Amino acid sequence: MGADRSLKLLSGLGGLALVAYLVLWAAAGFVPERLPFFTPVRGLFGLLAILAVISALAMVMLRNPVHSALALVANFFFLAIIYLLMQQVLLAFLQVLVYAGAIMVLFLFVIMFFFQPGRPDLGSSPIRQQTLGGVLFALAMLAMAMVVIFQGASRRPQWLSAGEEVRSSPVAYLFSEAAVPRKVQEISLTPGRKPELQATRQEEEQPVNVAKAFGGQVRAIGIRLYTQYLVPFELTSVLILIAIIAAVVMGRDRAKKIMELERTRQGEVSGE
Amino acid sequence: MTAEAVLTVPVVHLREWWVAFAPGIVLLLAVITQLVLELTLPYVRTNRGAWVVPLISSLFVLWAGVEAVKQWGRYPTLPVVPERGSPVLAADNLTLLFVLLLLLILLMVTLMSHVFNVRIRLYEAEYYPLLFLSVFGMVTLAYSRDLVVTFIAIEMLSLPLYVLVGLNVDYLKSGEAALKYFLLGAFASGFLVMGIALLYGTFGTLNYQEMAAGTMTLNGPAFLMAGVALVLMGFAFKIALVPFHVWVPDVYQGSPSVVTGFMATGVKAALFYALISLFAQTMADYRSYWVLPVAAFGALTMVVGNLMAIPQTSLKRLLAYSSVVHAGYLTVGLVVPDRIAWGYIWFYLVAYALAVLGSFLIVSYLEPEGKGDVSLDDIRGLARTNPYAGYAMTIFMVSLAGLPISMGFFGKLFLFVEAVHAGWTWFVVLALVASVFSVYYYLKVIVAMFMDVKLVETEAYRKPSPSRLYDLVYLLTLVGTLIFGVVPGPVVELVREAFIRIPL
Amino acid sequence: MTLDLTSLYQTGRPYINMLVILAAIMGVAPMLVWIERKYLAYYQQRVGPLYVGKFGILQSFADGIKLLTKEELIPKNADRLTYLVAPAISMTAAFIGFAVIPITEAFYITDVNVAVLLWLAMSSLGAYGVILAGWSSGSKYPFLGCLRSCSQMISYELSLGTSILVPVLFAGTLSFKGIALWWKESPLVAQGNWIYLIPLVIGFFVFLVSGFAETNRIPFDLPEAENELVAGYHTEYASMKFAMFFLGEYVAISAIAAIAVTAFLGAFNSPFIGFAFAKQFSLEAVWGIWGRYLGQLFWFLVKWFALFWFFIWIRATLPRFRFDQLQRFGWYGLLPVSLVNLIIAALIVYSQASAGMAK
Repeated sequence: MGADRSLKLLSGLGGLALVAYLVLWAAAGFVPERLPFFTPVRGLFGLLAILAVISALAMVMLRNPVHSALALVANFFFLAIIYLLMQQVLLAFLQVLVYAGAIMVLFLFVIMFFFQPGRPDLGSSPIRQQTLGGVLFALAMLAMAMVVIFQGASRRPQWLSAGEEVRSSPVAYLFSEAAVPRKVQEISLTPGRKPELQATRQEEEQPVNVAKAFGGQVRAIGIRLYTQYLVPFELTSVLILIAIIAAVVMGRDRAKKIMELERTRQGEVSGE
Repeated sequence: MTAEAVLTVPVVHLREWWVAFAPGIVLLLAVITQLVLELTLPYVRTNRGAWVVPLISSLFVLWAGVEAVKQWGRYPTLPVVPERGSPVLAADNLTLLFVLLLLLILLMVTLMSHVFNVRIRLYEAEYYPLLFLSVFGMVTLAYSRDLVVTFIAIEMLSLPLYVLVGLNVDYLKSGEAALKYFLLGAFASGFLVMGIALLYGTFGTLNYQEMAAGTMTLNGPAFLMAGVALVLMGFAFKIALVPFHVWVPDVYQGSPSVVTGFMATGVKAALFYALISLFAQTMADYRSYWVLPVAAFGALTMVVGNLMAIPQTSLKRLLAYSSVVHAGYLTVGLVVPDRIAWGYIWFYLVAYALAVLGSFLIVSYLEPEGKGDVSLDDIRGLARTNPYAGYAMTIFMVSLAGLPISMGFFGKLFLFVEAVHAGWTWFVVLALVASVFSVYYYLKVIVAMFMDVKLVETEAYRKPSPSRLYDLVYLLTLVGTLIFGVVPGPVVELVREAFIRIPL
Repeated sequence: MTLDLTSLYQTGRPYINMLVILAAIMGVAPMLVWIERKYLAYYQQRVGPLYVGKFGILQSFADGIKLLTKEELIPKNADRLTYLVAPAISMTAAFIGFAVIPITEAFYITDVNVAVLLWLAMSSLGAYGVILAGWSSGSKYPFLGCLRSCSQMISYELSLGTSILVPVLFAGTLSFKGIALWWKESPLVAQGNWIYLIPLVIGFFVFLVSGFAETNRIPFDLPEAENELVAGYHTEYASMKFAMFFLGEYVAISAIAAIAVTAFLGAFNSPFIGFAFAKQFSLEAVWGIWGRYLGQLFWFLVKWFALFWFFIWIRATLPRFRFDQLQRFGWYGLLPVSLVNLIIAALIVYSQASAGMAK
């Protein structure tokens, strides 16, 4: 029952955080100079971040695995929207398409068999001190992430030449002062040189249609994939072949197959 | 897309792949041949024809070996044209030494598989393809000069293993082992990817050459520290360094014995080379970031592994812990900032592979029907009922313990001497104490075979060896362990020659 | 201070279009149901809906009112939250597909550069509605129905995605508007290069069949096979929640038809676009730009309705597959065909590009 209590506590706290955040955001509308954080993009980001954290916690703490899976799907969605805020359109939709649309559907497909509403749970046997270990581990990862983020944010990438802006970093974009789309990045492909970032298509600089301007990502990623990362890309096909063979072996009804094989094997041996 | 864009995309032609990566391509050809053979010839699926596929496959392994030897001293890279970017796959002589070791392991495992597989009713036509694909992953890992390829290669070598581990139908622990290995392996891959992302954040590139050439400017040392820690965790899981070794005994015990032998040797060899090429070679300028963690892992591994190995009564579990401990010894070579020490890691791995594969060869045919494991009780009096197996096992144990007149002795000697020269005295002392302790449990096996009397005898205990191919592997492992235990000179010369001409 | 009407329209246009399209779908869907019932009746020599309104034209609206006013029932075994959310997911996912379809050159909600991916993502999310509905009902028939539906959607999504890559490859863009505009200057139309037709025709066939499976329409309506599973995944649903599934299904069919039109049937362009006389007799010649839009709207609706009618025709004609036949057809039939088709398309693009380079 401890888990239920903590779940209630958590959902209460999450709801409170959400409401408090919304109130703050609304207040920022009246006194923008007092609450400079709340630009539209950042405000939305904060909201999504809170929701993402809540859904991630729900995924861990909910007792019904189907609900957990759904919380995870929700989390994918919030992340996808955060990617959209960072103008990573392709990444956002791939996230939804691959993770939410394909992988989690398969997960649900399996989980559904074991846990049905109205039936008693199969019950779970957590490893001893699992919660404690999990919390400690999560805190360690959090600490690491914090160090990494703050160290990273405080420095300016030195490989950029003097005049260049920090355009390539989506995070930098999110927290930069003006949340307007910047120059479109395209990879120019000159034979004999490594693909490098160049700002082209100056005419699309005006913030008319964010999605359109940044849709060039598909092309940019495609070109990278078929030049710089061609070898890994081709090796991935072998990896997928391996996965297919492995899945075929695992998916086979082995007990039946073995009986069958044994008969043919013995039969052919004695027949000769 | 315009016409120009379509045509300017540079295609890596098959010929370039062949020039740079011939051993790997040969392994893929072998996989295709195996699949076609199993599909088209019903004879190879009978008990009598079970030798056909392994024999033909071992020819492919020899071919791959020849291709690897041909690359000696040539330093092939892919992309071949340097203007097209830094090498993603490349091979120096050390790479080729490791590739040859991997191929040797594959050859022996292939030869000893078929009789054993018939015995444990492992009839899957996909057994050999999975084995070869796993080695393909290992070879790719050895050639890899890019973190993306490294990750893909590690997945390629792991995925077939997850399946191979669970193939012993008569042994309940087999399925359990497969599940454990898969879940923990997936977890470790997560660490690895996260670490790779942070390394990318540090260096702004995924390519080893660019990482080594560029200075760490993009982000602070925290990025690098976190990245190294996570990547190291991912590797430590696969190599079974101590806090991440918990899966080893269960998985090694549960999987079919031949597969266990393969895992204990091949994975370790491939990943140690990956450690060498990523940390020792590429990140040589950032030694302070990774040397101490590696040494700490190693020290912990030696201590804990030995303590855990002492009470074991199952031979497979004992060998599992022994493999953990050996991973600890190998880290001694990793922390030495000298190229020759990496060569000695290779030497050690050869000794280790011969001894371990030999022991698992014996384990695989001593296994009582449907049991999947051999306990120390089972091998009591083996030296009398089956002297071949008994004496061979003794030699392998001696080699694993690192006692003289075995290759294992020289392996340890070279590594430790190098480490002392480099100033790692405390580490070497610890390793020496650990190996003294380890003699106890290796001796336990020998004592059981020579001193005790076997009460119940089965057929396997009297038969010297069930097949000619088995004999061949016997011969290889025994002769290798003994001859290079007396005259290690030629192998050492090979290692030295590998470093005579260094690229760049 | 003068109100800048043009810029206001520019900013507000997506929202206005959104409202218009939403309202149009909500209004048209009941009519589509009525049309379908009438046609089915015609094929089966019945008269169909007759009493409510002239020719029974108001029948669907009456049904809607009935469903709205019925009592809400939630089965005792149901997993409440999931049970309530499922129909909403189903309907929302179906509606979002329309966000990226250009009905005319100027009349669309948004033109994302990854529109095809967006639509594929949304259609794969439609599976959630079905799965959750079946699972959360806490009853056997819905559960079986949702299992069938899940495996069916996963299998056919592959060939659906692969077949639509052919026009994407030809047009060189993932935006539906880009594809629609490509039709006008495509080598097929502009140069009469018929070789482009081969992969497009095969792709269209594969796309349509997968579309049938994706929307659980009749040769593939195993998830709701009446004689086996009562009503499949929505057996336990009544009143408004059932209406949402029902509406979602028709919206999904409309979306599939609209996308098939855009990707394979020349989008909103006139079928006579390649002929010289089309220029003289087009509405554009008479009414200018608005005439052009009007013509595009006309052609889009005509094509779209023809496809919709084709859906009904198939429903009236073909019997239902068996489940193993359905899986076999998907994996052994459609998927290889669509993959080979994609390769053919790639070869055509490559050869035409090299030919262009040679010139």
